[in-house]
Amino acid sequence: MAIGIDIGGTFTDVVVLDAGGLRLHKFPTTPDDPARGVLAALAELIARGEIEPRSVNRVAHGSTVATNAVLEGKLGKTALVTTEGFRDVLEIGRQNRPSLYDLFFTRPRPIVPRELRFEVPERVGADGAVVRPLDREAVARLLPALRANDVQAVAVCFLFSFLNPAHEHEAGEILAELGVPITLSSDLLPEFREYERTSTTVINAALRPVVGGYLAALEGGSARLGLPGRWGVMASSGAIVPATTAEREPARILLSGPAGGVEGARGVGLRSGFPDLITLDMGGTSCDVALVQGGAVTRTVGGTVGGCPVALPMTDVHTIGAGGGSLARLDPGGALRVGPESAGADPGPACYGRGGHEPTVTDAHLVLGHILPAFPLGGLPPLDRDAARRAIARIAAPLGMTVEEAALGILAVADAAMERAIRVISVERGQDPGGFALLAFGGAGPLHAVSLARRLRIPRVLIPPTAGVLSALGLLLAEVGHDTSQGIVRPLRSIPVAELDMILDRLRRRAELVGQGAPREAVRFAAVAALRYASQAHELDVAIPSGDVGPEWVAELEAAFHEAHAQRYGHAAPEEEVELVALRVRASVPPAEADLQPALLPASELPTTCPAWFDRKGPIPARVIPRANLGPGARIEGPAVVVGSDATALLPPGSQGTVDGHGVLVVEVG
Amino acid sequence: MNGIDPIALEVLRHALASVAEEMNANLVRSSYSPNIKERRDCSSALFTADGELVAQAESIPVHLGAMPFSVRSALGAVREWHEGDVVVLNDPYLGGAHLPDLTFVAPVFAGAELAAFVACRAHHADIGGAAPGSLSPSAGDIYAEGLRIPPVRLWKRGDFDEDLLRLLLHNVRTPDERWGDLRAQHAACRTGIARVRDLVARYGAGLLREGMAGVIDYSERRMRTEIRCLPRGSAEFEDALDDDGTGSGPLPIRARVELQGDRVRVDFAGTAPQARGPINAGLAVTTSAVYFALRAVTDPTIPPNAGCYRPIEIGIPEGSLVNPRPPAPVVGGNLETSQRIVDVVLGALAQIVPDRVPAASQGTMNNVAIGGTDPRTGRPYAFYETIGGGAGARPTGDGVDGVHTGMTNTLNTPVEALELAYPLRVERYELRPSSGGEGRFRGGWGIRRDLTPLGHTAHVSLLTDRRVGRPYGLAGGEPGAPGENVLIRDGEEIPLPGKAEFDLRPGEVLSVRTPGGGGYGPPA
Repeated sequence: MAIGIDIGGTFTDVVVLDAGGLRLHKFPTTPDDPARGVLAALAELIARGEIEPRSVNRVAHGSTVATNAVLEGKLGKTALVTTEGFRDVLEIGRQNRPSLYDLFFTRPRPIVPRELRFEVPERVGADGAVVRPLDREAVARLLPALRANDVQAVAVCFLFSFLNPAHEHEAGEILAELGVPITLSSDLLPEFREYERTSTTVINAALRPVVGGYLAALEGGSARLGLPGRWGVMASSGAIVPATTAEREPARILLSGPAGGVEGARGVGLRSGFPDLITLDMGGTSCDVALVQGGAVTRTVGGTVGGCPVALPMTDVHTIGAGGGSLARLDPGGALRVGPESAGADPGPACYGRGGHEPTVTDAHLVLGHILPAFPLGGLPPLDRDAARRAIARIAAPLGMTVEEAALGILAVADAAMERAIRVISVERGQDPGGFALLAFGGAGPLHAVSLARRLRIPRVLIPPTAGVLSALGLLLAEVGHDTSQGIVRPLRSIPVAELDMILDRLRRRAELVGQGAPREAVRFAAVAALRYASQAHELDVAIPSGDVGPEWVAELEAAFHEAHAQRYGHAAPEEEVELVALRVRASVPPAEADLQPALLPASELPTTCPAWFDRKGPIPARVIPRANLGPGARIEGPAVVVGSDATALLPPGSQGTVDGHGVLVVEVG
Repeated sequence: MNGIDPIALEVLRHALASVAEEMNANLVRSSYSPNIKERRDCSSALFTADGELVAQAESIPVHLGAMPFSVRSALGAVREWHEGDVVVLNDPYLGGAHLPDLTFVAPVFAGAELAAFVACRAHHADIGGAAPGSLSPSAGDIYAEGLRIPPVRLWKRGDFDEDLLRLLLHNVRTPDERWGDLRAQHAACRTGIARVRDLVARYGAGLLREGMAGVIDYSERRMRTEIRCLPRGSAEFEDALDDDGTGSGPLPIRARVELQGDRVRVDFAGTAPQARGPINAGLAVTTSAVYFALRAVTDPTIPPNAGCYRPIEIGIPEGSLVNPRPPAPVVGGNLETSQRIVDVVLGALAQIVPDRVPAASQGTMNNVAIGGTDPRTGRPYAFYETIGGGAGARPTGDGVDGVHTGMTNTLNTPVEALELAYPLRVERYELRPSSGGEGRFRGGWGIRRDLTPLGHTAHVSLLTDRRVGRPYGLAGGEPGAPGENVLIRDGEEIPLPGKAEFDLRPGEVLSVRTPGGGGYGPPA
């Protein structure tokens, strides 16, 4: 039996997978102490007999605890030790400002203030040779000040430590006397670009006191319930890492939640034979879109959290402020705007009847008959259609429109904003959306998927049976893995092949999961080379060729880079020197194959049709179909509303859905 | 309000903005040179068939609203447009900014009808002239700055003009790279054309035309509403550039700003006559700087298009530093003079809307160019960077430290990237504590960056300002510290002028210390 637990802003989703299939559970999140809510949920499921503790062999967890700690500034008090003359690198950043025309712009306050950034004499040059030896006594002299300041963690980042980590190691040994966690940049992220490396190292150091305590509480509580005492945690890269890794390198789990969703989408898509996906995760306040190509999630090392760079591998997710709770307003220029302001979970849309008066996207769906008021998501009380009408009337009147016309307008504007977001991750990166399937999830994703796909000329939409809990499912579908890297920054052809071989071998040994329960023969290695033309500042990841490292291997890698460059940028320059910026290796163990069809509870008392609006011509009868009744092979013709406990899907007239062998509703958008 | 409803307006606004954004993304993606690909010194825009700006995408403010001049000049030069035509131009006296900025203008036909124009501009790493990089700090006239291109068709009916291209490439130092970047600009135009045609197919030519007009009117309404919310009144402000690099200075720039209900007038009467050195700002540059300042004190989320600028009237004396007559050299106008124009327009606005304007920011881009022969490879190298400084203190808080302000916002070169690529070492890179002007809120701190050449003698050009004049404080705040350029030799600090060319020997250190921002409110 395997358990996936994903903590979101409103709900904590638990999925349980065993030979009998998949079961989905939702619990309220306890924001003040998320661990408490998780343990209470597990205890309840054990009491209900849903979980048999002794047969559970795996618990995987997706958590926003690290992200929230950074965004809310609730971090451990951290000091930075760095090269003399460079203590402000963390504050200056790349010198740019976040918005061009805002004279009142601010930058995120550096996680380590100037008075806790300490310099020591030392310097390594661009060739990795020591220019100035480390002044060990200067490091030792910092100890009293660090103690006096009660620092809870220390980050060490010296220039060029990715080429020569000796000074960082020496300093780390001296600082170990403090008895607080020390993060060395050359351990965490041995790659070039000092600002990004310092920022990542500092965030990691500052998270250790927070994440360590949180995971210890979860694992301790889990063991007391008779469940496994060692958990896996979803990393931003889309791989599950052991909790011990997450404790030591918490900067790797900053994008845990969105990564789980995209992994779930990837897994569902692959099983159904769709390796190329645009994923659309639309919830209450925002919409996340990402790209899966050839069964692989697009990743980046250029991500930021709360405005601070985190240069570790991350699922490349683009987020905009469009969700079910997004507010619709007339702006002073006379345009109808939807979002980014949101009614959130509290008060929520007007139809929740909790005091919200402004119209939202969810209210628009309700008055148009796309959602049935008696069957809201996640166990909410029935929705108040009159409240939704009153809210929309507030904008319909000045528009001189009927409530339904205004509601259609709200959806058209929300779709236009989401279309633009999808174009950013596809068209702007040289990919035609028409070559992808749109996989929609989150509570609101399946309501918008078909109309969005039509706007983008995407022929097919996929709606998984687990649309509302896909992030939790992703925890069980993701591989267990670990990423390592080594910055190099030398012309590829100038590096002796023996040296390349040695670096790859060292990375494989560092990445391997043996000792963490994985049998040696099950471990797979995937390696990429980050390459660029010598004159450029951005690199492309290219998978390294198979076979032994030798001159032919180098030539093959170079050719693959030229090809990747031509594909991404439209041209290549085979005559130019290619530089190897970094090598990155992932070791992974794939998850066991499992039947992912959830046992869905049959809904009762659904009407067979409901009047629904799809255009200004008026309502037409739409079939109402309980998701639980849709077995493999079932066919649905739009107009139809497919009602599940965790998401509602909308099939407009002209679209046609078929349920495939994995329970996925595959919609030809027509 | 014209025929289009608020929903269609918002849907089309998203669609039209994404035309410009996709053009620019494609330009960045397919360009060859780091200046476009990495520093993003480029922009793309969509225009109506009459040449009115509908939507624009840019990464640095100096491109803001500067292309309508190019489109107007292209429309004046070409009487009959054909499908597949592309006009190229760079002459600052015919709608350009400075010579390295090449602008493309192309028509979009829907059937036989002219539906729109698309345009894009990119800063090319070299366009000929006296100095590599075409950024000569000592050019005496525009002919020394590089090849001047009036609006000419480089593509005719889809085919490029091979003769014209050969002439162009024959006059630049890196022809292969130029051809690559020119093709990237062409690809960006093609992206824009295809996208507009998509929209015609989806919405129909009529609705699209109404949509473009509607989006422009929308911005105008919002801009006028914003201006109406400001108090009526007028104010004047004067500040100066230190010098023009040929020994003349200071050079005053004077602006009078009048808020007249729902209109603004900005007048530069009283500004210094055009300079001998290359710091004259052409009409397009001056206009961008004014737009920047006004956009910053109103709502910066108003979509930037012709409507935004309709309520703004600008009076610029001819033959002045901010509107020179040919053949005055202009290359530094973009870089340094544009910053001072922002300072004076904001300085005048501060007297009318004090709560919306911070004290002066560093007011320079601190252009540093270093070249020589790399002793490791025997090959020549050229390194160019700009350096951030202090932002002005605000009515509500301290100024931001060590940041690019005003008309630029490029990324710096990381120390490790710089040392890996060039035979240089960064000895020190830190904030300048206390360089911000004192006040209730202090100005942002400047940056100190110390560089030394390794194993060779390097040639250095500095084009910097605010080495004499200081970024002003407001409401009783003190001015920020001026910048300093210093040569450190055997431990001795030798002051350097703001604009200089000299050799830097091994063991010597160039220390650039950038200005701090002005303070706000009287110091405690």
